[in-house]
Amino acid sequence: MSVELLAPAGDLLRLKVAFDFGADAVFIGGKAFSLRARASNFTISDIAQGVRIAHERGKKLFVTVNIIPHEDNFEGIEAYLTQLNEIGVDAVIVASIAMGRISKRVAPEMEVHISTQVSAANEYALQFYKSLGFDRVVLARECTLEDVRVLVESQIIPIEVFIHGGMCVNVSGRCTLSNHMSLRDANRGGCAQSCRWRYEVTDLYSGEMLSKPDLSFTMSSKDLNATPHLKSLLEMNVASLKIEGRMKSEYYVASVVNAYRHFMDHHEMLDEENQVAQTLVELSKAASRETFDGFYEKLPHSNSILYGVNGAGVNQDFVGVVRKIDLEAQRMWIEVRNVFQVGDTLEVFGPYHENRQWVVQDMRNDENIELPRAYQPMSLVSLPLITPIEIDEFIRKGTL
Amino acid sequence: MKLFVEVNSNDSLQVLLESNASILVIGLKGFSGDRLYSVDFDDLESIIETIHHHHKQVCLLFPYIVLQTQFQEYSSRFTKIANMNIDFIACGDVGLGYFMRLNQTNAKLIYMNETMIANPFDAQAFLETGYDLITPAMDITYDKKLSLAQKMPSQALFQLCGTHLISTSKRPLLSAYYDVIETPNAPKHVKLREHNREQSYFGIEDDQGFHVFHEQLLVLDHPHFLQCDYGYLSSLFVPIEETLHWIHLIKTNEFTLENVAKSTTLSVYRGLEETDKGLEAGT
Repeated sequence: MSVELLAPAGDLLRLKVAFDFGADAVFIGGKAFSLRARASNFTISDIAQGVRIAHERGKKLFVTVNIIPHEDNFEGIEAYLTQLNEIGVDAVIVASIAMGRISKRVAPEMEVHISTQVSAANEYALQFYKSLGFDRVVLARECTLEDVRVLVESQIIPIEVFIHGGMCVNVSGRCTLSNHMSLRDANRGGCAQSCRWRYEVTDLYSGEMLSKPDLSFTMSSKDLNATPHLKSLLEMNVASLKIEGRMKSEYYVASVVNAYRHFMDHHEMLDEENQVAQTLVELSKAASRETFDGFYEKLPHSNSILYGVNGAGVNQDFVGVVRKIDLEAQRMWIEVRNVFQVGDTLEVFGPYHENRQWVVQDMRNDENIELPRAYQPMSLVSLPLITPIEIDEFIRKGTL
Repeated sequence: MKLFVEVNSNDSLQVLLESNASILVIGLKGFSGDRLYSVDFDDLESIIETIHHHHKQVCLLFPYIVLQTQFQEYSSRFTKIANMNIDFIACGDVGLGYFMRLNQTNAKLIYMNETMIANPFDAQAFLETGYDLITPAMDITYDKKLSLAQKMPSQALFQLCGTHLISTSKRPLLSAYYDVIETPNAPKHVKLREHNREQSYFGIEDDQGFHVFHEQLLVLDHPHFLQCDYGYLSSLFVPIEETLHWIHLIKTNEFTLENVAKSTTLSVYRGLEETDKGLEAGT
C-alpha cells in the first residue's frame, strides 16, 4: 500500500494546485463546523466541485468538521454530514466523538478520521476510536518516531501523521489561552495565537523578575519540517503524511507538496542524505517561519521556539504563475504576484519538469511596451519563452 | 454531595484526612508532575490504605496524555493499578481510561479532560463507552455549564472552586527560555503576564512539560452545581486552609462567590462569559 500525501487547501484554486503538484488527497474546511475560522472556507457547491476535481484524478477529498462543539453547534450537523456524503466526500475529520457517531449513523460509507485535536498517542486510544467504528486516527504531534512505529505496526487502525506546517506549542486541543485572553475559542476556530505573544516572567513566590526586557518569554513554536525523518516514516508505511496549512498561499501549497512528492517518489532510488538536503532547500523557498523536526527524534527544547520574532514573515520570492504560452511569438505570459525586474534570476517549477533557472532579459506589457519591472499584482507581463514550460507552473526568485 | 479534593503535599494529605472531604485526589510519580501530590508506585497501596482507614475514598488522577512508549514501559504497573482497591481513576488520556476498562478495574472511571467535553452529546457518548463520570470543558460559559449540571447531575463532575489549567505543553518551555537567557537554574513555578494586559497566569514546568493555569479562582456557586452528586476542588496555588474553608462553605450551604472572595488573596470569577468572538466565518 502506498503512503498518501495529504495536503491542505483554503479554496478551489489551492485545491487544484495541491493535486497538480502531487497530493494524493486534500483536506478542506467547510463554512461550518471547521477550525481555521479565518481560512476562506468552502461552500457546499465548492466542496462538490472539489470532489469532482479529486475523483476525476483518482484522488480523495476530506472535509474537516473538527471543532470541539458546544451544544448549539450541533444544529444542522446531520443535514451537513448527509450532504457531504451525497456529494461524494471521502472522509470527514472530527474531534468530537458525538459528531463522529452522527456521521457514521447518517453516512456510514463516508470515512471518519479522528483529528489530532484529540491527541491520540497510544494503542489503547487507537483501540477506543476503532471500537467506535472510526476509520483513521491522526496522531498527536507529540509522538516520537518510535511511538509512531509501534502504533503503525499494531495495525489497529490506519495512522496519519503530520510532516509539515504550523505547530501548536501546546498539546493540540488542550489549549484555551486564546479563550481566556481574547474570548476567542481556540477549539472552535477562533484561535488568537496567544502562545505567540510576549510574556513577562516573575517568580511565583518572591515576585522577582526572571525574564529579560530585551528578550521576552514566549511560547511561539517554530513550524514542523519532518524531512529528516521522512524516509523512516515512509518505511513504516503510515497511511498518510499530512501537510498543515489551510490558510497558506497557493505558492506555499505548490512548493511544499512538490518537495514532498519528489522525495516520496524517489526515496528508494536516491542517497538519503542528499535527498534530505535537497528537500530542505526546496522547502526553505516557501518558508515564512523557521522550522524544526518536531517530537520525532527527541523532546524539543529552545531550538523549537521563536524568541524575539513577531509572527510569521512574508515570503516574497513567489513572483508569478504561467498563464499563457504564445509559441508563434515565442513568449510566455506571467500573472504577477510579487515584484521582479529585468536582470533578476527566476526559477520555474512545476509538477512535470525539473526546476529551470534563467535571467530575465526582456519584459513587456499587453501593449508590447517594454517594462523595467513588474510590480502590479495579478497583472500580466510577457517574457521570452523558455522551454520546457507548462501553463500553471510557478515562477519564483532564483539563486544563479 | 461527595467532594473530590486535590492533595498537593504530604502535609495537606494529613490535614485533608481529618477534613470533610469525601474523596482525596492524588497523582502518580511520572504522570502528574507538580499538579498534585504524586506518590511512588511502590507506596500507592499503603497510601490508599491510609486514606481508606480514614473513611475517605481515593481518586488517582492522570491529567496528561500518555505516549505509547511510556505506556509500554509502565503497562504492567497500569495493570496492577487497574486491580488495586482504588475508588476512582480519572484520566485525561482516553487510551488510559480504555485500558483500565479492558483490565476490568473496579474503580469508577472519570474522563477528566479540561477541553474535550463541551456539550451533552459528547458527555453522553463518553458515558456510553464505559466512563462513569465526565468533567465538562473548563472553557465553556457559566450558562452552558449550568445547563449540563441540570441535564446530568449524577454524571457531570464540575470543578466548583480553585485555579484551573488553561494550557499544557509537553515541551519544557521555561527551561528552554532560561537556557536562551543563560539563567539555567531559575525557578520553575512562575507568573506570566502578557505585556499589554493586566491579567497574570500561573506557570509550572515539571517532568510532564509546561502548564499554564488561570490566576483567578473559579467559583461555581449556583445551587444547580451544588445539587450535583459530585463536586471537585482544585487546591493548587492556595493554602490548605483556604481549601478547608471552601469545604466548610459547601457543607454549610454558604458557598458563594462573595464568601470565597472574602477568604482569599486571589481574585474570583465564575468562568468565561463569552468565547464566541472571532468565530463568524468558522462556525
